[in-house]
Amino acid sequence: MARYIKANPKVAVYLHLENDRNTVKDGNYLLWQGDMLAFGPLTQLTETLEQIGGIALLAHEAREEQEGTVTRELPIATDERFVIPSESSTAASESTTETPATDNTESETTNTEKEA
Amino acid sequence: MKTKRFDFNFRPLQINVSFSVDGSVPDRQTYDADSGEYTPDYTVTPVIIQPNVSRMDKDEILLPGRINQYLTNIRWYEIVGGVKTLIAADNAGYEITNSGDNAGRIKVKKNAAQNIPITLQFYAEYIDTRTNQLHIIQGTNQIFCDNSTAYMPVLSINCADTTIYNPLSDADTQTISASLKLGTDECPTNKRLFVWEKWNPNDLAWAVVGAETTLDYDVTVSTDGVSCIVNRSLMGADLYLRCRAKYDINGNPGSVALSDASPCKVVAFVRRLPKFEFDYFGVPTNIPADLMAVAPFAKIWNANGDLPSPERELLALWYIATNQASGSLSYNLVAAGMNPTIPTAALSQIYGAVIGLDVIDIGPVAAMEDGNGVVFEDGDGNVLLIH
Repeated sequence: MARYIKANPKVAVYLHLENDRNTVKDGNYLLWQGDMLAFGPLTQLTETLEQIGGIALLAHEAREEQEGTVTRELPIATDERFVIPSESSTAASESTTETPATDNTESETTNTEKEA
Repeated sequence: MKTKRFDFNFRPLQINVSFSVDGSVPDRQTYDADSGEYTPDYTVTPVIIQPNVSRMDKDEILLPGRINQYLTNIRWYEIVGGVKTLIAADNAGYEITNSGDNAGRIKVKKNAAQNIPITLQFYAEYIDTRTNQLHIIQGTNQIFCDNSTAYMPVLSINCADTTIYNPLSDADTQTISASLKLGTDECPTNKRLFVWEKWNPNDLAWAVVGAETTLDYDVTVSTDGVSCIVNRSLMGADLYLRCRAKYDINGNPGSVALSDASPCKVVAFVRRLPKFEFDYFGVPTNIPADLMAVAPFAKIWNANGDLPSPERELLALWYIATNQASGSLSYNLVAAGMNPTIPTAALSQIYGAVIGLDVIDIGPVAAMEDGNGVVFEDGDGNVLLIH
């Protein structure tokens, strides 16, 4: 069963995939499982995900994220290179309903800039 | 003065193009109709095709190597099913990089239909700065989608291949439902469409039910197309019904053309009267001398007992013949119906008479037509049916 990885922008930039992969409502990226090979074999996917603070999604879950119907929160990365302190503290303090709305605006702005 | 022209003799530039899949997303995907999922789903994680254009100058004037950044007029074409379309900038399924080191790169954000590859044709121009010669660079790359569905769509309908309809005891209508299964699961309703067809014995062809509004009074297809009701009392002597299924993984079954390979089921309905017995009763064999008429009643039965309403399908015909001492009797039809009144005028004073009963099948209901095959309708446009 194939997995899609939801990871924060720092991971996408580290893999040079920030222009190649789609972003979701909260500004994070949806990566393909093969992208994780940069961190180690897929047999160690669980450890890799803990390291980069990502989550593995099934195809239908990834589509939910893509369409913005469901937004799953990412865990904090154990590897400090991928820790996003401001976003994690914001997520902890704000209610879940408000978070996506704010992030949505940001992500849309980012997309527009990229296209331009 | 004697002059001669001198030119540089540049040797032709050697241009190479190759295509590579950038990143980890492969350019071959699979589709599973059971789950309705592509792996990988290019709408979620796009695949990136990078053309790599390089040059080699045998005169060693131009540096050898990648020249993507010098490409102009970069175009990609999408070829699906033999139809070539230029991918415009506003095409949501693709994203093309037109400049920079990776010029020519295309991001494919749409899925291919199973077993119908998307061929991407690359076109770009490069000008040889030594001679201003225009080089046209072309090449193709394909995106494949394999079918990884464990089960192909299977059509089934809840009706026997041949249904014998006994008009004397069976219900008039029969509801038939179709089902299209993908493995163990029912196919999603938006991905399939059932087509019900009737065999037309005059044209010797199948015709979609409802196409002939006047004469398709015996079959009614439900609005969702999943089931149809056959009115067997109106179907005539027989009816042949075919159900075929259109299936489209992308949820557009209406565009699928039916073929011999489409899932198909054919069922037959045949009207058949089972064997029955009949006799008449209610009249003594010796009747009073002044009786002007007798009123016998017919009785029709089969293995299950008396038929409940035999006159619906059967007609009792009564005959009478003056009896004779010898020779054959001459029967005259005198009455019809289950309980007629038969005059005794034919009774000979010496030999009496013989009353006979015959029961015939009045046949199935059919539309009434004239000699030219034109059906009769009433004032409201309803077709007239007769036995």
